[in-house]
Amino acid sequence: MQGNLPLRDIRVADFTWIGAGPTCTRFLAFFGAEVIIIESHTRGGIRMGQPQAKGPTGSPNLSGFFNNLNSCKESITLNMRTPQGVDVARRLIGLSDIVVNNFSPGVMDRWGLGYDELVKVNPGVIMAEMPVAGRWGPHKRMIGYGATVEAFSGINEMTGYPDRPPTGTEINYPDYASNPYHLATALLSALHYRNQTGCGQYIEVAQLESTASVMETYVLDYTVNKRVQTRTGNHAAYASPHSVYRCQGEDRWVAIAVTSEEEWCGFQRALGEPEWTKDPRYATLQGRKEHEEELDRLVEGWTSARSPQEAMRLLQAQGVPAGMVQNMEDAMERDPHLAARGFYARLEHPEAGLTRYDGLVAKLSATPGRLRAPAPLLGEHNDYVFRELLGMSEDDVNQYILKQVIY
Amino acid sequence: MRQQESSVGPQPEAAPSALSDLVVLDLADGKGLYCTRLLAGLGAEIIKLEPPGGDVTRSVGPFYHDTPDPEKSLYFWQYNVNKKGITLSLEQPEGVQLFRRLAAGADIVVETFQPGYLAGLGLSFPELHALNPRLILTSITGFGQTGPYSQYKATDLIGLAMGTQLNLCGFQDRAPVRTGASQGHHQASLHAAAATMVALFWRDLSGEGQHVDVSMQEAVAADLQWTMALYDLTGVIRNREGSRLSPCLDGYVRHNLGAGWDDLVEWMAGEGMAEDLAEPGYQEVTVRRAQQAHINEVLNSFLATHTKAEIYREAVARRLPICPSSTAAELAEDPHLNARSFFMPVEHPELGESFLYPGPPVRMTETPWVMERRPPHIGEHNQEVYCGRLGLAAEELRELQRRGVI
Repeated sequence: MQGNLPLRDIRVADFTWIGAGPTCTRFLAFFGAEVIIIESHTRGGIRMGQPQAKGPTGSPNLSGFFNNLNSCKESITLNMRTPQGVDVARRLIGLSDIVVNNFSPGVMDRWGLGYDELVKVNPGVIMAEMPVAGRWGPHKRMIGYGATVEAFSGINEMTGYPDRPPTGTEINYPDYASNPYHLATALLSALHYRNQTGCGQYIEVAQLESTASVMETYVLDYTVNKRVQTRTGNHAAYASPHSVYRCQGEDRWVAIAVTSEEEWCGFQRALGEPEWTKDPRYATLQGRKEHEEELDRLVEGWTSARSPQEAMRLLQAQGVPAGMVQNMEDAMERDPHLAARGFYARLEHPEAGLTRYDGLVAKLSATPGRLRAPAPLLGEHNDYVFRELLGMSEDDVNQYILKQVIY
Repeated sequence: MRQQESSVGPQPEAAPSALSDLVVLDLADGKGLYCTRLLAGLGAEIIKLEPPGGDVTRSVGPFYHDTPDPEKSLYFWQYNVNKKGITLSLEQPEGVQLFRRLAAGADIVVETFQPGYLAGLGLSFPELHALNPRLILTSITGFGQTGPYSQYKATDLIGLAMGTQLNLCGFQDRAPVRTGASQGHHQASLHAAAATMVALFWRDLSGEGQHVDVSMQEAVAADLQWTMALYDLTGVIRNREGSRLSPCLDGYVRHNLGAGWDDLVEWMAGEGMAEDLAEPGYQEVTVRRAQQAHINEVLNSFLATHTKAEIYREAVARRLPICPSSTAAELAEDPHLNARSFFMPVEHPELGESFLYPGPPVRMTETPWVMERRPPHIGEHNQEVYCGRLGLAAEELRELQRRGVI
């Protein structure tokens, strides 16, 4: 059981909110880190976000978005607009291994909680910030969101059809992938370094940079060849057929990627070797690329007479990479594979009831981690943190509640 | 500030690395290449194992000067900078034996084979664990090591499809479209890198290695904002929404209304293009929400009269959340990223040139990002690794090469 939660001795003072920060600290919480999110009634907003579970009217504990990203964490309310609030935060940081925030650059410094100050309180502390453009450089004041970072890094330019405007995911993609998992990797590598040396450090994830780092050859093709790559729909230079094809049913699709001659042979077998697949023009990748439009129509002729599940099953049976384009309902209600791996979890939340949560992506054989608690209620852990952890007296706590320091 | 100074520009030679004590054996294809690339940047010694003749990813373009050549694949360069390269045939028993000897002295193995392939060679996790109890084995596959689809094959496109991200992207009148630049692969690698670091932390405490199983499908499915919660709580299934970018004179920009309303209106009014948006009624967020379509229309007409560069400059100065949709040229020449030395030169002495690679995704003050070594040539480090690390004699190495093991 001990090994179940490998990070159980790590405490995180978590000032982050919305998407990228909470996603990162949730990853640490899954594996046992004690993540204390510093919230406040003065900070508003995100806990009221959509979608809302049914529950007490006006409650800050019902947002499905918030709850999913904050499972396994602890919540306190601390009013950072008061000097006493800042002081309590400093004491909490003194007992923490990691401090994370995604404020604009300078906010923590104005509170006297910049790295240079914190390291005096806690020499081994690892502090991380995730400003959009970084805390220095000509555009350090830039503000943005996942969607604008996605545009800046070139993802939009590379997404969509050549004859249409660039498009994107509309999920603020960088906030759930490049930003949080780069940071989690960096934080854990810093813990490893601290295990060897006792040294903490300051980590900056500039969102523009972490996302520009996952652009495949977008940058290198320019810096080496001066080529400006652009979007190619679902086509790829190294594979054909390689696209998304219509299937039976309304708006149902299957993705197919034939990446080798072996897979092309498998593809022909999966289709029952109809005459057209023997057309010598399609015998090589180069030939298939040259006649791709026509080839795509023929492939779609086959897929459109089948359900996406059937097309996937027949192709995979012959070793051809294929997958139905699943929507959220498919993934959560019908995908036998995700179900068998137990990906989505149901957790009972005191106000939101039994709702679903994303599970742990990585399965670790010795220390699997655990979705051990739903998201905390706002301020649920005030008693634990202020009384037990920080050793404040009941009187002090009550005074702070009256003065809206604990608020 | 200290942290600013220490993360600018070239680092002192002596700067330590976070993972400099680690040796990683890299058996990854596209799904896992960025995982080991990240570990390399954090300072681990990565030994990339390729089959004799070179890895298949060396045939993926684009190529240097568009000349197809296994030493000139930019795809290979991008993901293998800062790694060492050796050749080894796992198809031959002697190759498997050599791999066992390498694994005995390694800290991490990252692999992306179909589940069961390594076990078939006698290299299952329990067997590797018996050989080296400290070894961490990270397996990155399309669908994970277990479950009914575990033998299904996956590329980036298939991972995005099955993980539901593909369904969220594109135009209603056309097929859903993938997110560009191999984001399925990158998500699998990012989740795997973070999880490998958890396993490393546990090993620091316990001395025990373990097996890390990462499914690209799940990595993609976990990164979908509130899409899961929306379905769970309301039954609403999100779908593709077309393009939300706004055309301007020379391309597109992306805005995200919500912050800086007054500054935005001031900018537009300054050019006489705010129409009715300066009226006090719009101070109310609820009004703005109700009038979203009208506001977008006015804003888009305004943006259409400017270039990307103008909009970018004003947005930064006025602190508005608007970004250009950068072309590769604009990204590579961005003044901010260049002032931060984000693009780092890597020398390719054989070509007599040095190229700018995208640099640190994270900046760490004590253990800065490492970008020193150009990607390896085929078998470049055979002698160093086999003779130096494993202690093979030069004739033995030649003999193994002759028999096609190396």
